[in-house]
Amino acid sequence: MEPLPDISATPDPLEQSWLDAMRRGDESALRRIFDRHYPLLLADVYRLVPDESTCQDIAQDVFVELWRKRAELDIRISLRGYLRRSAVNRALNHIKTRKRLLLESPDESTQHAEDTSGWEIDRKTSQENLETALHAAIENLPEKCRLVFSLSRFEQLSHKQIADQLGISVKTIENQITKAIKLLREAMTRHADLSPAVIWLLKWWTGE
Amino acid sequence: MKENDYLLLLYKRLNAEIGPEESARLEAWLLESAEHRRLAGEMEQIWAATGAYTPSLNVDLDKDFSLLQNRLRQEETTPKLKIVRFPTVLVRIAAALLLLLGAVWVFRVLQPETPVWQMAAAGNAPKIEVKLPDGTRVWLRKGSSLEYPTSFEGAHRLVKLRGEAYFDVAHNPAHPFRVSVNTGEKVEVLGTQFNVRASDQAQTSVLVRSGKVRYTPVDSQEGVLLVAGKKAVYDKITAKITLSDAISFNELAWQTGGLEFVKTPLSQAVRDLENWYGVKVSLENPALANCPHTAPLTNQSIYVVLKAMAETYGMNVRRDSEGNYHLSGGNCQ
Repeated sequence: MEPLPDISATPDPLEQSWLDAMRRGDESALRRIFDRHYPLLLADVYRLVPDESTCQDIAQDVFVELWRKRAELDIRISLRGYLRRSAVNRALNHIKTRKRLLLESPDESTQHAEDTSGWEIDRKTSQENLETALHAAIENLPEKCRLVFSLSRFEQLSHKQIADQLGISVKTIENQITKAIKLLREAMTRHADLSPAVIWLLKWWTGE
Repeated sequence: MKENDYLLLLYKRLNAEIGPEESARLEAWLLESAEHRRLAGEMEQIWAATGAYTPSLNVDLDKDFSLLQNRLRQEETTPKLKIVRFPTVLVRIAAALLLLLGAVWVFRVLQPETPVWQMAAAGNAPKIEVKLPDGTRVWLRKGSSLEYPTSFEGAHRLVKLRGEAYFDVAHNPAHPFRVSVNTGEKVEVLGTQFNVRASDQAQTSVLVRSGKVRYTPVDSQEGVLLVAGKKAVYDKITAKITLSDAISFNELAWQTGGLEFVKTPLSQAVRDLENWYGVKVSLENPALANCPHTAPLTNQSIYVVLKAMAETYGMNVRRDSEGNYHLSGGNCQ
């Protein structure tokens, strides 16, 4: 697989010292790196593969490889960038090999379960809650749509790169992004327009 | 193109992967209507609110680390050597490219050029940008046209304008830049930014954004010297020039693609924002109405602009269920 672009930033001296210690075979240095980066990697992978046990496997694989290659490691970017790239590459491989069905299947139906989870939240600080509502909306995007959107928005891959990585056309990628935008806009409109009282009123009105 | 296609373009712009052609198409679309600019604001809000999405998962670090240790015990292997190869092929390609570039340059220098007049017209596009041979950039507004030579020769750099255009003139004091408008009026500059509007029959206006401009409506007269922030309106019927200070440069929004405020009363600034973005904004604290507002040029969304404004004066900004904005509290520093 082609390497993904650098998620750069300069190396952190503290982490450099951990890496040096790890090269000498110090397992406690590995533990320090693990404590700082493992939870982040789980979240990175979860955005692409929303399944906790798969996330755990992939994040573990990243650390197994980090340890195995410790003597020859030459990390020019930040450790975070390096580990994240490795995790994302693995997640993509996982998707390609085990989830061929997902990518080749025609679009999942758009009848996208109505998301009422955001509505119970108190909306005093609207921006914060708009974030909550949109984060919930991302989690509720249809699978393929969510994957493509996450690769674009969070992994900063270009549409062309995503298409290459997943082996599907740029046109399909753009369709999925457009669909994600549409669903996220709907979520935002719901968030702005419907206070819980209005929803209650509407339901009462329509006799639901 | 449909609305969805433009939403995709807005997304691509935020994601910094928009191409120049797409960007131009998007800019044109945004200039078309306030509704489009409102959509752009919405898109930007979505962009901002999704950025921080990090799934929160429960992790037992001790348990997961011991899991990792178990795997390491099993997979312990000897590290391999890494071989680095020097890319000599790249060096050869670079040399070949340099030779090719050299050849192209020699060819272009040897080509003789005779100036030919040509015309650029904006037609129905909200604006087009024209680059002149001296590096001057001209933005032509919808329905306007400009005639200019393929190369400037002689003492003056002369161009002919019909309609309205914004000029960003390349500095060259030895060859002043001259704009002649259809009725024989002249605008002469050394290197500056200004707007000329000669679109209607009765009036011509010249607004200077930076530098100095001499405006000569009638050849026989001296004309007026305009400096940055000054505006001259020439009335062809009475043959009089009226000079004024530009309150804001927002009549240039068609060119800049955004608004800019220089000591503009806050109530006026809010009105400009309403017109440009097609939204309703209420300034609820009357004490702020005359507060002089200065903000650099921006083509950000209304949402971002209002947030920055609210921060400056300590106001609260709220978007109600109808999509109207309310600015409350705060004080003029």
